[in-house]
Amino acid sequence: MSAGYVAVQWNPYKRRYDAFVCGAVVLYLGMFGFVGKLLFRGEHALSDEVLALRALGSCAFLMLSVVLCIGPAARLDRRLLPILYNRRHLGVATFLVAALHGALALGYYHGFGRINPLLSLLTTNTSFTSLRAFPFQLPGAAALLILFLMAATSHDFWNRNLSARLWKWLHMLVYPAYGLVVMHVALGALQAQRTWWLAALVCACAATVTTLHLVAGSRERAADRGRTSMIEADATAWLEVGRVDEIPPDRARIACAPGGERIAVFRYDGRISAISNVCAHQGGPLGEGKVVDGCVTCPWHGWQYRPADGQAPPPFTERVATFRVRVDGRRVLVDPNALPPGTPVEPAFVEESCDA
Amino acid sequence: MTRAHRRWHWYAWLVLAPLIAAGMFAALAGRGVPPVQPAPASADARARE
Ligand code: HEM
Ligand code: FES
Repeated sequence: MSAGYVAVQWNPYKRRYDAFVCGAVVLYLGMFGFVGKLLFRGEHALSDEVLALRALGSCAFLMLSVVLCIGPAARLDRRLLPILYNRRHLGVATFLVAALHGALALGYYHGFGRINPLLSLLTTNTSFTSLRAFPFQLPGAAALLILFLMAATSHDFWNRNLSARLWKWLHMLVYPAYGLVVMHVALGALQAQRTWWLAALVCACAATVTTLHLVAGSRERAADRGRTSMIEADATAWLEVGRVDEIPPDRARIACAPGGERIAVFRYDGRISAISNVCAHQGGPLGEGKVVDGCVTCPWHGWQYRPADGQAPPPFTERVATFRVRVDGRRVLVDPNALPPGTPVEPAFVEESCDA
Repeated sequence: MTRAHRRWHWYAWLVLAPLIAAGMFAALAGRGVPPVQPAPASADARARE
């Protein structure tokens, strides 16, 4: 949440996360170099530069695959949410490793000629119609450009100043970037190196990333299509959310409005309040979060909102839409027409003793 | 996420998944037979001795 900007809002969890990522990258590169030297000996020996190039490239590919798996995996299993919390740092680290790989490739294969290395990269090989001699570096370079744009705008400062919409759009480019990286490897390394395990590894990563997205996505679609029952009363079509006891204390039940937008209906302190399910930060599912210290806390990066008015506690200024609620017997009803973000709404009061 | 975002994600992967699968298949199928490694020149020289 932002009342002002700092480079990184460090906390012990982020430090441990980053230390783990750095350690894992260094360990991977070291192991790759060591095993590479052991496996490729004599006339098959690889130069240090090629070994480093392969280590960095494969490390970036694995990291990008992991980054892309975190989102859908955390949707399928909530226990993985802590990995999502600091995913941004993992994304920036992926860019750094990929950039080292790209820079080394540029210097090693294009740096010793008379023309500018970048010009050489773009113009030397134009066999675009050949599968085996395709200039596979170009999709790699395009992916690197996208990763750069994402890393450069990853800070909340840009999220706010580019507008959440444009920012999200820019960051969705990571999907085409992944496609480009798969192309880079399939047309490059897989053509040159015949080892079955490299092909198997690339296929396994691509299949995992794709399957997780398709499974999580189809679940979301099923939820969007979920049937809602409406009750007409006092000229409002109220949406039936469920029974009071079906909402665990300090948690929410997510209702799906007829247009497909979701509403998070929270129960806390003997009250019921409803706010938009979409966090103002990056659209995290507020209804999957908890009420902590009287505030709804987003499960993705911890932004907070007061349930009764959808406003972040001072000094923060973020707001989300609120909804009118009422309790009929033990049934919870919500008016699916969103009120402007930050509008205070009287909570519905419930007897906490009934659901023991 | 808003409904628009959920849709976008879904259609993006619906397009990307077959593209990646077809691309991998084409790239692997198109590799053909590995080229025969030329014997090192030194081996040639030794054979002639
Ligand atoms: C300017 C951008 C890039 C250039 C010029 C480039 C160039 C290259 C070259 C020349 C190779 C073959 C190395 C060899 O075996 O001798 C290679 C392999 C590879 N690259 Fe890139 N690359 C770029 C970006 C990327 C990015 C962004 C990624 C991933 C995020 C990536 C992942 C890989 C992988 C996984 C390999 C195969 C490594 C192996 O053989 O084990 N590359 N790249
Ligand atoms: S805190 Fe980041 S999406 Fe809610």
